[in-house]
Amino acid sequence: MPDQLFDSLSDDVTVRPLPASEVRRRGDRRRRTRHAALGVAGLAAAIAVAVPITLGNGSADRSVAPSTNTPSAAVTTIPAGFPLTAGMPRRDGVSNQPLTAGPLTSEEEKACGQVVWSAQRPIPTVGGATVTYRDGSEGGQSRSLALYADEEQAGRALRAIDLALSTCGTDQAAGTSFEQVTTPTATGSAEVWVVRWIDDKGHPTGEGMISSATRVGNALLLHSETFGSAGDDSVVQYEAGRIAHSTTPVIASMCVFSANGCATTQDSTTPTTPASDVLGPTGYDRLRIGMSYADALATGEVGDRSDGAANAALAGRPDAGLCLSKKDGLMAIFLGAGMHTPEGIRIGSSTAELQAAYPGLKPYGPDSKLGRGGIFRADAGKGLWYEIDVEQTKQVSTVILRQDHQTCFE
Amino acid sequence: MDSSEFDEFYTASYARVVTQVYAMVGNRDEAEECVQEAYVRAWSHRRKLDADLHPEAWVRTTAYRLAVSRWRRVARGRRPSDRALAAPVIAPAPSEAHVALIAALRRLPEAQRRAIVLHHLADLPVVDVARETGVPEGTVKARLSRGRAALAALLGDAPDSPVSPSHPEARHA
Repeated sequence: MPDQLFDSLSDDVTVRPLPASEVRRRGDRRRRTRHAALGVAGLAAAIAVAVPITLGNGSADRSVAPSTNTPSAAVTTIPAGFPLTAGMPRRDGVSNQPLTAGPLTSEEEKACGQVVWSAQRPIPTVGGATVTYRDGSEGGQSRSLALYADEEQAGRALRAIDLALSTCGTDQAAGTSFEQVTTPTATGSAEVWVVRWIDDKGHPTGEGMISSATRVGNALLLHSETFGSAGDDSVVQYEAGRIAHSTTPVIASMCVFSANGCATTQDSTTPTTPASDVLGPTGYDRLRIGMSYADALATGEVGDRSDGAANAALAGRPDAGLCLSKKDGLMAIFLGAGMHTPEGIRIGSSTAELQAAYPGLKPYGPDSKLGRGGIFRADAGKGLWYEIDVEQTKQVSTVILRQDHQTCFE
Repeated sequence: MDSSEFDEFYTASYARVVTQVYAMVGNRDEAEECVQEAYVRAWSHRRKLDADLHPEAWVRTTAYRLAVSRWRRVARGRRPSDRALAAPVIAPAPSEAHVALIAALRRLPEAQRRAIVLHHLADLPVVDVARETGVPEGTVKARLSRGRAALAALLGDAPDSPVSPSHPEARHA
């Protein structure tokens, strides 16, 4: 075979790349879109927000709020009494035997025809357990707790899942349709993805599988369930909420795998409810655009890193990103679900409401027109302004309170 | 990966990845559209694209899957196949030898074609081809062996080499 043909092929292929800055701009717009208030994302966020204060089903017999105890080495065995089966049926639907956990061996999670996680790849586990419930037909539930050598390894395992999911096309393929929701949480990160089976004529069969992956410390919890009426979006949201509820006691107990361990009582300093719903005109609650990095942290309102075009998030509001750096301080705040500007604009507001709230609204992005969407600018005063994305559906999808200089998006 | 690192990565790898995906899917315009989209996704996931996760392999895999998804859409929509195989509109015509190479690659089974491109065009060792395609190394070696034999026959430089039974017409290419 003439290898020189391969060697010279690159020289013969003319490419027309977009400027790198345009690729980044499009990527940033994609990230912002992921910030928009997706129903399932909100449910997934609720998993973690509820963790410090909720223990459900009576399955766990101790309170497990995060504490500031001395960090300890990674826990690589599952403590006795860990409520791995909490929220699952008590007995298997086929054998009628009590559900029992076995060791992690060949467990794997699939989506869009590929393995997105397994006990061996891409990051090998060092311990864990799995439990399966069969409902007597072809459906059921499976739940695996995977333990890694340290938090960094577990974080990489979750990032690998997200990366694998993000390579899936959003169209129907291989007899399935696929949707992914990525949600940063207060305790780590959660992923929720939905696969709906499609028949050979391209219609939903009514069956699907919903899966979630949640990391706390060096542990990763994976839960998958089959469900019916999968063609109905409201059913998908209901099922996502049900998984969030059933796994809450497990996730709460996973604090034993975090560096801070578990406290025996609830930490009263942990914010459990957001301080306010109003973003603007100069900041959010005690946060002010332009304040230093140290001052922002001192407010106690800076939470875990967001996955969107931001590098932090409001405490208790993981979908409300912050653009924050040590060098430039607080540069921008994203409007989260349930929040609104002082003028009443929120995610989902109409263009008519937007124009009424901000008569001086101006196009900011190229080719932006209210009738067909784009990016707009509304002054907030004192040199600050709202950057507002409007979709073709004439609804607001993103609002950012910002100053001119920021380093998080284009 | 900050913006300057991304720009450097994008500039250095773009043409290479387009060529590789072109060789996998057989349509230059389709390949470039999918590669462009893959880089947009790469930037939007930049915090997760650390060195351990092989960003160029990630972009190539994502672009390839996007292209495969498009094929399936085309098939479902019963688009005329010649639309999916349309010649480039603006790019200058490649050399006859390269046209023959791409045409020969298109006649290989998909798995063999991908293995051949990753190994011979992307210069990946067998172990990396196995990782990128998610199959054991032995499977990659078998695909390479069969693919090479078929390709040699298709390109006419080894007329006595066996051709895959699934492509009996290949000898006449």
